[in-house]
Amino acid sequence: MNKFFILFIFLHFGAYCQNDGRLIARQGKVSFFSYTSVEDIEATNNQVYSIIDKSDGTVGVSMLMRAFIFKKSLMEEHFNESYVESDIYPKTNFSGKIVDFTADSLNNGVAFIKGNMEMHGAKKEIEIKVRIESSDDKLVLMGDFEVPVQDFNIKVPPLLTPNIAKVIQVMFRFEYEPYEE
Amino acid sequence: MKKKVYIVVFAMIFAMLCITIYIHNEFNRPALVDIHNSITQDTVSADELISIFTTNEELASNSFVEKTIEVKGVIKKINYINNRQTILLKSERFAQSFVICDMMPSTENRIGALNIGDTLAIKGICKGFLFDVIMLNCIPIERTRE
Repeated sequence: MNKFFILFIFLHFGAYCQNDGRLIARQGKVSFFSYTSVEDIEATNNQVYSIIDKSDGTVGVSMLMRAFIFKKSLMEEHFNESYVESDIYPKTNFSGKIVDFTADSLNNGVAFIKGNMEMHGAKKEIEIKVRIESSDDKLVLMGDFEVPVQDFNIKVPPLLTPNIAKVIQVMFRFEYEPYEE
Repeated sequence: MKKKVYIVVFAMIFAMLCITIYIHNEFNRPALVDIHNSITQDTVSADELISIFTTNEELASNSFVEKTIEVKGVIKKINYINNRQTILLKSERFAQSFVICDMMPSTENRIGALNIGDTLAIKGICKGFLFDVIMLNCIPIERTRE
């Protein structure tokens, strides 16, 4: 399924964004937070890949689950080995489109992106509110959304249930720039 | 008899204390890897690494992911996006793909002396491939001026 998604990005966005309308972020940032009374868990991935097509508002995101940085080693081990099973499902992907896209949708302001998120072998349709900062040669998309753990078949052992929030907060920031050869 | 009871109680308390300290240390062990003392498991050029991943990602993942490797390539870009120090090594054969190296904070001074176009060997942990190879916990180990 991951290969299908990557093929989709290539076909849809054209090989490596040779068109001026396509912008790329190789080092997007995605953080997640799990708040419970027992412990708070947070991690950040600073190498998230994203492409946006300015002509039709299509957005693609792909990230390696193993590239999340945790504060504590044990949390990282549990995350990769027990929860998201990074060996089996190494990537999380999202493909979507800005809702009611017009030529002005990517100006400074707020927009909604609707699409499918694929993680841990499960696919779910989500709608995300994004803040947009736009300048001549740069576009920044940022926002946050919630991910219910059970939506993506993530199994938490009963002993650790109090440690993991049922709904994970996710924050993101993508700084797009024109693709350079 | 009373002395034996004291010894047993003391031994039990001591054992429980040791276990508590061990569990506490395990739970709080920082995730940061000591890459300086980590043994290099493979040495490749940026060209080779990207080529292997683009040819057979599954095989490349089995060979490199979560391994400490040394990668040699020409610096394409040095940036500080997300308040991280990142070096992008370019490939001659794959113009659109890079090796993205997330540098350890302790290497700040050494990165300041690097220039775009320098040939650099970087040691770090390979995390996999999106459209670039991603490496974390990186340190520069050898540089050749352009």
